[in-house]
Amino acid sequence: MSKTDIEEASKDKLREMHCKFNALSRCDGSVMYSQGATVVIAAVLGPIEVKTQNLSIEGSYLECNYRPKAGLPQVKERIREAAIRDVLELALLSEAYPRAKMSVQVQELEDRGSIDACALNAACLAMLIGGLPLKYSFAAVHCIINEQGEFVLDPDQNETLHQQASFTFAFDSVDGNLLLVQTKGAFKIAQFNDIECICRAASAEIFEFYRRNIAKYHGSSAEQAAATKEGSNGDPPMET
Amino acid sequence: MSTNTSIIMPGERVTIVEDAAKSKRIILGPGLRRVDEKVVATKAGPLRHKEPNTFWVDNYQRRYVPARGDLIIGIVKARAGDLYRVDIGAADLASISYLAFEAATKKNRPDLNPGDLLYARVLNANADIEPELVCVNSNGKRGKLGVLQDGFFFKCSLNLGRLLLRESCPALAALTEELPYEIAVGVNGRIWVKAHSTRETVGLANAIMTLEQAGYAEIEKICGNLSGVMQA
Amino acid sequence: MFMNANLFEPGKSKPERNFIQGAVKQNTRFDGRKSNEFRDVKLTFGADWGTVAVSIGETKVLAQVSCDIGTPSSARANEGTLFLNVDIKGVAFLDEAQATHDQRFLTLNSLLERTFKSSRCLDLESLCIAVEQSVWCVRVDINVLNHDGNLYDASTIAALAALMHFRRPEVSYVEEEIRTFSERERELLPLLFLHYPVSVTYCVYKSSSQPLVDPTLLEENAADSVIVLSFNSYQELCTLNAGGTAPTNVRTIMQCARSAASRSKALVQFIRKALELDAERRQQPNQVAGLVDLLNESAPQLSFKHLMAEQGQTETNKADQLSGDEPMQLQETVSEEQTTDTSTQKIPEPQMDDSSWLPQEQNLSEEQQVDGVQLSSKQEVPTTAKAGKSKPNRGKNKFVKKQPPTPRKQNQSDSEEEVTQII
Repeated sequence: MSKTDIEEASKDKLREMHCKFNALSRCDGSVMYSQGATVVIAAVLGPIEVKTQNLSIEGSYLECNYRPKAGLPQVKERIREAAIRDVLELALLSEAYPRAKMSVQVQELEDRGSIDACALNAACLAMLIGGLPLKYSFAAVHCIINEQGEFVLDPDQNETLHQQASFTFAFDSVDGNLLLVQTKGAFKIAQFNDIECICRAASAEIFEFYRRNIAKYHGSSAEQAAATKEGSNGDPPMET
Repeated sequence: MSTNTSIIMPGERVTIVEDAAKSKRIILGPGLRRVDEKVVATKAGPLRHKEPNTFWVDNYQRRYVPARGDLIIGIVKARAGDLYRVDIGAADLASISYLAFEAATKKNRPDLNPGDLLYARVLNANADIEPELVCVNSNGKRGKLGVLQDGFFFKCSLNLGRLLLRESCPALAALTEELPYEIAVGVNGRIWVKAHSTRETVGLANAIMTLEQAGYAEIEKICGNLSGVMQA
Repeated sequence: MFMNANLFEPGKSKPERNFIQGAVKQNTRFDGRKSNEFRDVKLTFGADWGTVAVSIGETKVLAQVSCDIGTPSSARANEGTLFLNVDIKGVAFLDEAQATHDQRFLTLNSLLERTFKSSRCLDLESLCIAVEQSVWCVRVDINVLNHDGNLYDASTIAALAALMHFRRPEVSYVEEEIRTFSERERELLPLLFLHYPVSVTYCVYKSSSQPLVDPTLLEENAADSVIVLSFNSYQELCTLNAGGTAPTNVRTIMQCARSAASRSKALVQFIRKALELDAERRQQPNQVAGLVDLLNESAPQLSFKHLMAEQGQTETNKADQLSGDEPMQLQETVSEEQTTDTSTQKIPEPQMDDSSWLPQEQNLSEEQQVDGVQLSSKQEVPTTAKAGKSKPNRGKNKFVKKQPPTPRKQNQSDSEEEVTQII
């Protein structure tokens, strides 16, 4: 069956990634990011005015929110939000803008597995686009051990239904240090080490994706935008 | 300006700059910082170099970070004692003194109200204090600074503001051939335009906003289109 | 505390306001639209049921419908509940400028409440599982992604499209025990509607008598007053919200109402059509891309201009289909009542405004026959106090409303089924 072939092939590969920069017109930087069918949108604003209670003369205050698409944020979302904030705080060069706030918002659009990793990657891209000062960029990868004891990299929702353990790692782009480790379920240390290696290898692919898309944004964004503007220019804006 | 489009990412060491630093003093612009003896990027984008010794990372940033000497357009938000508070699109509201206007004295105060537009120069900009503006030059004359009356005002990217302010920019020259107009460009990504009629102003503003994403080659074409619009 | 200026807000400076006022006088809009021209509306349905992203120009809104089983309120023990929640704080960053946005947020909230809850557009009785014990609680979450004016229309379109797209699982109630069937066991059920309301927004300026439809944020901020009208697909007024300081004469409001009514009808048709196309896509395996389509430039887009351009040809087919789908026949007495009702309603109209404000009577009655089931229950539609003020003749409608509560039950095949299960 062709379908199982695809599944076989996808076990050690990341799902297809797409992104669209500045999808929202009003914030300082925004990214719509998808990995397979999981879609998130991240937006940043900063440096902006900070409330007095959060003001720090040493560095900027980082505000980070994660919003589910249905219902109010519950414990699950809060945990995710805290994980994102922890990683962003590590990566953000906060001393560049003292007495200011950096606001990062992540909105879930569609959860089809690996939402933690997607949210982190989207937040990183949004910060890169918004021009927030960073010590390094980062990439997050999700991996599970399924019932058969196989490793599945970047699983989709169906694959996560039957899992022994799940892992989310985030790596920095300079030294490859681990910024975040989240695990759930039972596993052996050897398995953990193997999966860490797999995820590390996959993170390189994500960094390459960042670089490629930012190059595209800077290189051909002028041509691309001009092409899309052509359409609207066809009929002059005022023709009463 | 070099058009080298190799992208550098935050955290990367920029050895080209380090090499240049060995022979002469260099200036690190936005997106670069020094860590001990290394030069490291903090933003993602192509590395730019301006002779003789300035390096920076180009980033289509939308948020304005004030710098001394910048010409900006601000919106008066409130009066506060001896100061007006002005929104310039940066993290903090900027302040401008009552006395920082031409011929202003303690008794002869300028009449500014919330909602007024100001074309001003940044006098002081530091990460640790709020920015301060002036509407006079060092001789006490207003020059082109001051309150902007009528016209239309809109926001664009910081890059477009800088592009229009560049001396060699062909866009404004090309537009001048089409119609007479007044323009004030703030490097905080805000543009004020005024032409004879409403429709001309709308056309002008739309033409400038189209430049936002167009390259140099497109500019002529857009200006041509604008004249077509005007005649219609 | 000074006004927070973290998010640039167009239309807040004097030159901008004066300019817009002047431009309106000359019938010029900044984006080249005519005063009665709308921006294109685009819908993207998610892979999950009840997810829809709506964009009107640069205004982007995401709506998600969810449901769970809860207890009904004691006052309405046999009805499910509908809850609407708007979030403007997320990626739209609108809470950053609270001083300016609180008002807008409150208006939006109350508009949605009145359009969907007070007008009783959902058949809540069909959401009852066991009287006084358990009912379905339907929740609509509206996440504002980007605000470039006309958040009102974007939100109502998103909420309506998401509700129409949503499917809930079937439940059985046997021996005091609720059993929920998964999607595999039994097909999911769509929600039942009594009518389909959407809103249309106008901006009124002191300098001009001509209101602007579908304002951008610049136009909205510079406006003296904003009028929001919600109409359902039967062109009945569900909500009227007129705020601001511009003195508006009745003629202007009637003029707005007239075009809003036909616009609403077209919008509902558009949503229906988009849903049909989405359903078609779902028939084919591996075709549901979901919101990834937002990223995919080449994906087929469900845009108003595109879909409604072909409207002329397909409309007749659609009408046939619809009437075929409806299982119940409309009782003749009801339809007669309705037609007489609408005709009495229309007679005084010409006196208020020169042109007839509803389309020809024949069209309307045709539609009534087509959508027979919903029609019978539309008598339930309450008109708000404000609506009554602007259209005094609606009072007559109310009189008719109270009379026949009986034919309604007979027409609601689904809710009846539910009821028998309970008993």
